Amino acid sequence: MARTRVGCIAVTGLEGMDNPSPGVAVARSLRDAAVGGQIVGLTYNALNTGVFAEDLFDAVWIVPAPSEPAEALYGRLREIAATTPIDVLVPTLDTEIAVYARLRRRLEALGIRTLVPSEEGVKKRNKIALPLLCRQAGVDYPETFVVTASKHLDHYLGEGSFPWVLKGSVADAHVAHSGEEAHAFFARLADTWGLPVLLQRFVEGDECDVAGLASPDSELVGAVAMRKMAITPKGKAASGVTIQDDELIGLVERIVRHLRWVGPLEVEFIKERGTGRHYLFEINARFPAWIYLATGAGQNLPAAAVRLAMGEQVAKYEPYRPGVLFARNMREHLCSIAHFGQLAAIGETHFHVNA
Amino acid sequence: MAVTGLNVGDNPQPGLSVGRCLRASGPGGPALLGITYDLQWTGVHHREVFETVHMVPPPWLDEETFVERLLGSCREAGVRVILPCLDADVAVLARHQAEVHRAGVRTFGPRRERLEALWGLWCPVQWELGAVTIPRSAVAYAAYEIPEIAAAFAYPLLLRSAVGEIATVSAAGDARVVGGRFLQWWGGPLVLRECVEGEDYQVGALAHEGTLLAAVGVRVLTRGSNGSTWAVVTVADADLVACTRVILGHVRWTGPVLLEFVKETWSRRVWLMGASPRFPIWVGAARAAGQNLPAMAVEATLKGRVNRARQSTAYEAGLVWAMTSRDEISDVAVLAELGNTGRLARGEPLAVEGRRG
Repeated sequence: MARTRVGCIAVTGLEGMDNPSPGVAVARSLRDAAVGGQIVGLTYNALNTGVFAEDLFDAVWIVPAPSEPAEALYGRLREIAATTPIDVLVPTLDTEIAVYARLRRRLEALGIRTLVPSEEGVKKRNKIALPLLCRQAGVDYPETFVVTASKHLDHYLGEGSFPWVLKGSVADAHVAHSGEEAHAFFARLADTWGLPVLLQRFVEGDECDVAGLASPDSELVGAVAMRKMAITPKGKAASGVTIQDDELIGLVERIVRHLRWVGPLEVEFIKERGTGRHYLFEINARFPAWIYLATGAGQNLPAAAVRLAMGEQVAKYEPYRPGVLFARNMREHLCSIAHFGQLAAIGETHFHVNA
Repeated sequence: MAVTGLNVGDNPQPGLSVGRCLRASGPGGPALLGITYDLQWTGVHHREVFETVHMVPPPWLDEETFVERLLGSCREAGVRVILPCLDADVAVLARHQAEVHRAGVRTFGPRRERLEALWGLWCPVQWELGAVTIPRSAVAYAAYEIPEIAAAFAYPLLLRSAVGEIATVSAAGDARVVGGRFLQWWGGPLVLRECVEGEDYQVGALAHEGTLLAAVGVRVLTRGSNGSTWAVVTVADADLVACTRVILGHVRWTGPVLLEFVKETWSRRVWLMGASPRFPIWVGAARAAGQNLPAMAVEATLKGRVNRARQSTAYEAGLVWAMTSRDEISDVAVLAELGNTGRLARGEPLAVEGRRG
């Protein structure tokens, strides 16, 4: 199928700090592939540092957060599309995928294409539903309790020995080595993300993640497995290396088919030391923040996602190169206060004149 | 020249930014040696800044071995100036200044007693220095000490780790767990400090024996979850510069320094909330605003005197500086080379293959 010209691609998730959102890495991959005429950023906060990445984004708009009614987001996108027609929108935050899944057809009517899973698929992989999904798909999952009040915490802690992992209902995780730590982390997670908090058996081993992309008929177009090397105190990868692990890729393929998944995803595993068993512990309905590693290893999954969204046939990727490493570094940006003021005051800023 | 502080994970150290300022200081720029303490420090892959990278044991494990290996690396690479970018490095080099000078290597940093004077600003009682109020502080070295020390303060309470991570805690249990983690990860001291509500400002400055040579003030726009600074805007604020002058004069400071201030919301009173004996992470903003602090420090070091004509606290206000995390693509062979030999020579960046649009 002939390639369609992609005029403008919008990317969300522009937080670029210590726990970066994937938007900056996705835009970088798209720039490398020269897949779109313009790349614009959509942000919820004028202080997300990715909004200053003038080398990646031609313009940035503020849009309503996913916690606001979907109608508000739709209205804002319609307003933006009236002046800057958007061909493809790549959402990169977990919290917004369900909203975009709901708006998919209405956005298509505005000429904005997305490659997202069904709302049902998004729900089936959320943290609370994950044990059931793993059981059905025949994938190992660490023993997990859903804790709805701190007074129940000690009861569950008695079910096993320390350490335990406490996870927020949306994000964040802490390893607790004592009851005191468990209670302190429970309070922090409940304050930040609300209840419930998940209490999960700690599995000792290597953390391995897979970034994948599924076509509209739920076939895996590409997938890259990475083993985390340097891990920040918050458990995020500061560096990692691509690994060849057919078993991991096979598990992801099984999950994609079981969920009838469409679009990007990240599946996180721990390979247990001693047994070598892969425990699945999270599925994110988006590209990971380290997606540029996949591009560097030979699979530019964001570029392929844009092609699929445009309705093109995309052949399955050739195997990627193992042994490619990513190291989280930082880039500095300088701009006039006028750019920031414009974004904060009128909700948009344009770095390049023709944007 | 050698530069330390190459870790750029979730709490970026200033080494890369300092290296970029030196690169921008003149045609060609100086040859730069990056010093890393860990194979996993991500800045070692940043080939555009450092010609070579050497790995030496960190100063907090064994001070004598650190100095010996650091000076060995300087000899091997022909280094004449070291710019230490971590608080711990500055302290060790201040203690071993004579030995470092004997090895023919120069630094532009404080003597030991001046560093102790800077730390001495923090007391168990609130006090005032000119127009600056310095809040009550206490220090813990072990997790079991935290509850007793914290009992003397009201919540919320500010905890500051040895590497500058910040957390606000709201209860004794929280203080013990979060503070305990900081001590476990980074060692002591853990600073406990009163919280002050207000606007967040910082000043990056350079001084010589208490005389302010250069200073740039910024308003902090955004901080990471660990308290690290990710975006600032330069501000014209004569009060902040005046406060900086008073503080550095009081401790008779020599070298770079980062001072953190809060302007209290209701009273507009200026509080000193942090003082680090090094360049700020946003030193690139200072350079763009007209004050290349690392280049000025190198000039002062090499000439052995300070060029008074260059003395200036004028800079461009309204310049926004922000950092974004970017993944550097490298090869596992790079780590093998650094791990096996302790040395990494500059090479061409790895080609990114298999791009497809």
